[in-house]
Amino acid sequence: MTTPDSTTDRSFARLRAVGRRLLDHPLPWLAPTLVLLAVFQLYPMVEAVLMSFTNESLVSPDTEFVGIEQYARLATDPQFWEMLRVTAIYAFSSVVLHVLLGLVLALAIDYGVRRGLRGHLTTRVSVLLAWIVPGIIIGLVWKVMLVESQFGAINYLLGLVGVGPVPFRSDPTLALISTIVAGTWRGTAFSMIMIYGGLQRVPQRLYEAARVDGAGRWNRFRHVTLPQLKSVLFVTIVLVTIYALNTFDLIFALTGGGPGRSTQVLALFMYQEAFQDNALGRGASIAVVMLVANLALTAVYLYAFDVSEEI
Amino acid sequence: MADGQRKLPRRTVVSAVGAGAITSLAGCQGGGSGGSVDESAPLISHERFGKGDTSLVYQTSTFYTPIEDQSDQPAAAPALKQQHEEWADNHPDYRIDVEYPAFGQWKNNLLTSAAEGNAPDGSTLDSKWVADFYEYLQPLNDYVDDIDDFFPFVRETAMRDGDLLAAWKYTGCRCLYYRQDVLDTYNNGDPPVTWEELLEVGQAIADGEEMDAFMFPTSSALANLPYFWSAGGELLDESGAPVLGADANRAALVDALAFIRDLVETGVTPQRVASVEEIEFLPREGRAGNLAMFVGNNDQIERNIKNPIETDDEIPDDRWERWKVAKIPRPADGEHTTGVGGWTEGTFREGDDGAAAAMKSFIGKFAEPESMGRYCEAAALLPTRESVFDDDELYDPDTPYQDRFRAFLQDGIARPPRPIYSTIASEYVIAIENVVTGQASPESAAQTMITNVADEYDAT
Repeated sequence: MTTPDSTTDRSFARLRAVGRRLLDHPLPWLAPTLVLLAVFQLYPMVEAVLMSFTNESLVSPDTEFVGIEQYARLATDPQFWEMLRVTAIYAFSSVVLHVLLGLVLALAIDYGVRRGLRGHLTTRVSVLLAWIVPGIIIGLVWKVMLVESQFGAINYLLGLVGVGPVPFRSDPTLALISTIVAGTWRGTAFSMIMIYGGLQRVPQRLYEAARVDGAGRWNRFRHVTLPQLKSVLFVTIVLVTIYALNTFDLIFALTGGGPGRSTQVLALFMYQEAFQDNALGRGASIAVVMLVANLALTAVYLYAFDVSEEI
Repeated sequence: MADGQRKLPRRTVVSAVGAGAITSLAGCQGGGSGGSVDESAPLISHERFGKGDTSLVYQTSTFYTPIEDQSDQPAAAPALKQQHEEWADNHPDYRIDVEYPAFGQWKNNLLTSAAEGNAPDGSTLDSKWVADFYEYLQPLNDYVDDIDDFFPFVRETAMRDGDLLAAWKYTGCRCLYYRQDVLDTYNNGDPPVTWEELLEVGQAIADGEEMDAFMFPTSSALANLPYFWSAGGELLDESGAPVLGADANRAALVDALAFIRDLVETGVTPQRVASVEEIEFLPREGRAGNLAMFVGNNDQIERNIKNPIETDDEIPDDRWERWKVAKIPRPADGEHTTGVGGWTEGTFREGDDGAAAAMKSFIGKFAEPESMGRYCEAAALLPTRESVFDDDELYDPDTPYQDRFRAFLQDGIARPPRPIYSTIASEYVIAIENVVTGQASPESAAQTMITNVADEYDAT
């Protein structure tokens, strides 16, 4: 015979079992993140892709579907390829310099910490300060420093030893180098933090074993440190590449893409198309090209580093 | 015990900061306009002009607030306050609720809202924005008197099919600044009138003095378009289509770029001119004794030459007087021209009913001779009405060379009132920079510019 109490108990027990199963399932835990990603990342991305197939404009309420016209226009525009070249030079130089200098700084600080040397905290804070300051401010600071007269700090100092004024921003090649240097000055801190964090995870016993095996400094670095840092270096390089490919604020403030188009990167071109020429569709097509470039490079890194099991 | 004492304040501080932040955000959100205005409230405040129950929304810059403490241009605030008080007295049923958008996104947000039909009732507009808003701006003809009194460039730019769409409240022009004492030595005291004279005198100065002879703001299309216009070039035809590819215009463009190349190649102008972005850079070089001549805006005589010299204790106060102004040099067979700009006011409120009439009346007051004269005198700006210059009671500023600037305005050409101008301007700047830095010849820079402008026009 079934009593009402026992039915209720069974219902509660069933509910508790469902609740437990739900809590054991990853979906409830992932749902908030998935919803936020969908709303703030996926939706804008899909919107941008859709927009790139239209002629949407800020100045006109009428929007038409134009297929791949925006992409065809980009592909046949010689200036687009020139900007792609500038972007590639900027991004490649940035990745190499950020990671190399970040590695050197991280090793130096790690060495200092292990040896109990003074000043490692000050060094870390100093380098971090450059990273904390917004790119637009960094660009303006470098712009002021690189003024091509006695009012520019660097040209003033060079003038004291009879050099210059050096055309840091009016010579096309030097202007590109100036943007790379300013970007490196800012971005190295990020690589340093990442790699320094990775260094803390390297087990000391590996170094001790290598020493016992007679490995010198270089061999310990090559056969212990670098392999142990592989996953960290992968993440760092991916993030620095994305950062470099998408750099806008610093170059906008430092050179504005000039002189001519000698420092005009894709992100700047996208801004100009979307918000100066008001052509949102064209701007979106450049954004999609940048997205594809970012994804393609990440895939290349994933293949080259072979870290799929570690991340 | 000691640990416990340390932990509690940290939690308290975090909670207090969080609560403070939330309260601040709530405060920000609650800052909107309510219904009626308290009787004891001032007639004019930073966020509101007038005290009527019917609200009209108006966007402007803190440059144009009538409240001195809040203004980026405090000297002009009283003139604006008087103007708005007059309007508020005449429109007791209305009030203007003022918004101050962030400057960087102002135009784009305004365009978007206008396209969606959600534009504010009125807004301040840069004169170069006006063309982008033609289809949304409402006529002001019944609220602005004597339209023929405006300088020709105002009528050409702010009017469409006989409708005055923007009240152009002040303007500015570009001119040649020169050091009189230097030209006394090298050109009998006369400023160069033609390109050839500028090249000749400039070379003599560059050879004889430890200073650069002549510079111009490469990043400003409007400062350099006079070279093109003076060479006989036209940017657009009657329908607004770019005509740079026409033989005469292409020739004018190549001539202008070739002149700029000659300036650099002869050493009259240093290549570093390609890095000049701020208009303050050139007068600063001039004050430091590094530059003999430059192209600048009319207001720079007061702002960047006279005032800094007078406030510098180490330089005699009258030293600024050695700086004079002249027309921008032209080709030997060309006419003088100058680029003119300035700011306007416009309304998006359709119709002529009570609220629309009140808004149009508010906007129209900016172009009344009395308010224009008061404001321009206080702000050291140039009126857009000829009659204002003629009436000393309306406009009698202390700013030097106003009569000269007035004469220059007769040859003023405004930015062409079409959206394609923004592309023309950026392509012209790039062409100039490419020529200055030797990345392109005048011919190839001109061809690239013509192609890009035509492509952009076709695409839009």
